[in-house]
Amino acid sequence: MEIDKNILCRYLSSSAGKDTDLADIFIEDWQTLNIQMRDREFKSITPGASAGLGIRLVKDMQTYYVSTSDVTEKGLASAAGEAKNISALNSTGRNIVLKENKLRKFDLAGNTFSVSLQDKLDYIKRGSDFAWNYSDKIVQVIAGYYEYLRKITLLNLDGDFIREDRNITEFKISVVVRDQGRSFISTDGFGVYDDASIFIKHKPEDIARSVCDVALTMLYAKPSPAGEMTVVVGNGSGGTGAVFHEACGHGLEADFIRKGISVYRDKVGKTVASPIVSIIDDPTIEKKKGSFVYDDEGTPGQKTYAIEKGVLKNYLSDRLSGKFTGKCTGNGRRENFRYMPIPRQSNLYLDSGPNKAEEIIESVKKGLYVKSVGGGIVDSAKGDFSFNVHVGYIIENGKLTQPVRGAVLTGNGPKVLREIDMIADDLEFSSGLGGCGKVNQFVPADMGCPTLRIPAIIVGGTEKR
Amino acid sequence: MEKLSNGQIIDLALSMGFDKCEVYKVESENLNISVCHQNLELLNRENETGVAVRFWKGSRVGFGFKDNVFKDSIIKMIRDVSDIISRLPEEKNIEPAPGLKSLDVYKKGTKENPFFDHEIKSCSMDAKIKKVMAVEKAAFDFSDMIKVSRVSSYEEKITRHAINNSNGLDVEYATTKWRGMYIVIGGKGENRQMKTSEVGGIFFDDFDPVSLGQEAARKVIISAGGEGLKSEEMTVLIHSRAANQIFSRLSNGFIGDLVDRNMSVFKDKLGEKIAPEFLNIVDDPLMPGGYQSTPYDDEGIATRKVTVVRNGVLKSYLYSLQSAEKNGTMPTGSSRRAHYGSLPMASLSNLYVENGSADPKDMISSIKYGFYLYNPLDVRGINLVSGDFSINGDGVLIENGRITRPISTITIGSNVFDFLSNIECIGNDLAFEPIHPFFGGGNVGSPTILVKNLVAGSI
Repeated sequence: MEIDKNILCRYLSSSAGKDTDLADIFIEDWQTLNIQMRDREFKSITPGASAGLGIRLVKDMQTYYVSTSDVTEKGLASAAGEAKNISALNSTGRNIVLKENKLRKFDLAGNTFSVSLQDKLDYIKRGSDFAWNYSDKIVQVIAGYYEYLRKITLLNLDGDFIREDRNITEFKISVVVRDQGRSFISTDGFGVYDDASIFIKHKPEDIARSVCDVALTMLYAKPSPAGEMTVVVGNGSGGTGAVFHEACGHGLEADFIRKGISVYRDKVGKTVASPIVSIIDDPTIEKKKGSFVYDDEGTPGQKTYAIEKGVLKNYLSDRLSGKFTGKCTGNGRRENFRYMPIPRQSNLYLDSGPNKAEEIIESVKKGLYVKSVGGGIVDSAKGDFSFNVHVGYIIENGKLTQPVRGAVLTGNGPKVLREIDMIADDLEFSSGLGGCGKVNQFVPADMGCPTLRIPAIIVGGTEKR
Repeated sequence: MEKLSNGQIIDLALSMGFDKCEVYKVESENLNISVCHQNLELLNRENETGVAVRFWKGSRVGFGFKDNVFKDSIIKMIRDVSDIISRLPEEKNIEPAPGLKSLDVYKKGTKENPFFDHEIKSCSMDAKIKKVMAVEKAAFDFSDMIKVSRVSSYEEKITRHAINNSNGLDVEYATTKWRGMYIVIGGKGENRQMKTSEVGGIFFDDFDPVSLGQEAARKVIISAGGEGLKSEEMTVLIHSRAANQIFSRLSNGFIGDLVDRNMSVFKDKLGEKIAPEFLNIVDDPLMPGGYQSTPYDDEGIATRKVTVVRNGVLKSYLYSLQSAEKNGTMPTGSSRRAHYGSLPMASLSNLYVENGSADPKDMISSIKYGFYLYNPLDVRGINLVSGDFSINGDGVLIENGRITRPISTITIGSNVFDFLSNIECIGNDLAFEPIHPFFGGGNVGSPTILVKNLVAGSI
């Protein structure tokens, strides 16, 4: 199903009035494949497809949005009519001149849908088999594969006509280990916006081995001590970049600035972090989960310095909030055609610094090394965050010693940014299995950081004293 | 383009070589309203169709879903599943539901259907927007510590469900659902925090904007300006709204499908005492006006009230057809699909801890030294596989039976079984809240509970 761009133009122009601030038609076509292997069997292999369109009209900061899964001219006509109807706009028709945009795209080869189902099943089974055979303490292995090809078409009031095909693939292995009444579950894998080469780049056996090693180590880990201590946060390969995504990134999103929610409001040009800290959002880095060529309202994705050497430079903005902050940075994203775009992070990271990871660990007499984090949460008004430490180690006299579980890192994002005193040169992004939820919209995102030191932060633990 | 009924989809599947077939269809009219500082921010309308089909060939079961019921697209789905089915394993325990017919009373959006608000549609858009604005107003009227709104939102779904299978199952019912959510920021001076309150139900009239707004405001105020607390073993009083989240997360361990997968510490605990004798947990999908109330589950089984824990003894897991069959027991009508594109699995409906007899005021005065948890921040540190239990949140300190000072976010650690067995007293103030699936899901209720010997603190 495809609607001609001149037809899109006609409906958008007849729905939008002279005084409409923003308007667009967003169409998408999805193809998905979901495979789950559990108990050594393929429990489900589910191909799926869906399509839909959404039309948005914005006037005086009020958004009127209608969506439908009927991607035909009839469906468009009905959605456009309904949008005009609920908006009660006095529209007399808006002249839209279609631009001859030169479409940009990432340099990717064949998408993952070009690989046969049998090859994918073999790939998943290799990972699952390897894990099952790794140790007799393994009581469950779940291998999940999810891929989608999301074809996006967008037309906005400026006459930008945009297309982008996003091929995102996720593969993860979870293992449950058990021994004498103790259990632990660990998960890893990858999630990327890439092409069919992923099956060669990532070996399922390597993923399985690393997940099993972590689970078996942590199975015997002791409860974490609690209290204020020096914490070395390992580089982003353990998902630790999420701390900065949650505790700082959200506060830099322009809707939080516009609404007066964020502590970073009115702080452009001011020092908000230690001079060794830079925070950057960059959807143009290729092959990451949060990459995109265009955002979901037709603005080209761009590298944005939010904080540069401790000084706040830019907010992350969509077009609507950009009217308030004065700048749209191409961060308007939506979960799918059912939602209006809002300011979101893409691949946000804390940039590398001058130190070496080893010297940072060696500098700590007693503290906690956070290798990887599980879920985290933040109060975006205050910047207070809480992260469950999935894999942690005690640092004693500059060396990693005992693994610990159950630690919770709690602190304040803006405060941590001011206090970070050592940053290594080993920036890494996460494996890409996460994403980002905001109110009720979930979008793919990646996050990264180098190894760094926080001189004092509160660790919650379960060790009884 | 020709649209197919559930019966026609089944006939088509059987004619294309399948032995059995189940079709689940939802058609809904959705409305979303967002308000911020008394300005309408978003009006969103959508008509949504979703169909999910399970196909049996011998003992292999395939699955497909679509967002329309056009003949061409359904035929393509059936062909896709035909290509795949031989690669799926032979299953022992998956069968379509027996061929029952649903009651007529649930079919239409009439006054007699207890799961449908026949007035929700006739209520004007303006009246709905006014209510969403009233939530915000109630919070600002409640205290001058309330500074900024993030959003006051309202979501409504009017849904027709139809589940049919080749055994002759013919289930059709209509439901309405609304959910109000308010996110607000406030505090003392620069020290501000953001809190969320949610409420949901069937009947629009039950949406009380003032109590939602005040609840959110109370959450902000209670711990405003709070400081840390020395970490030690202590008594923790958990406010009903905080206990909801904890029991949502924890009760996922009672889901039969997860127990079968070796994913729950409650495996092999049926019939065992897991909590004090005054703790009772039930799951009631028939609760009048309940946000998760439904006459049938998502596999077409009539729902019923399930006693999960009675007098501290684990009595039953929540089962889908598959997990019930595997455990040689009757399904509990707990099968849900998170989205029509997901496979059915048991999950929480209106799950709650039954009221005890204690007045929360007396519970406070009984505590010599303890932490009163009001706002949990994250309950995902309750790990149902390992049994590790660490949660965090803010609240107030209780000393000599009185609330003395606000406390900022602290961590509370234990393990799942210790937490349950250390529950000492249950209040009489049961209240429900829809919990985000991220934290455990369900419309979960709990009274205030008092738990002793938990490691709590931040410094």
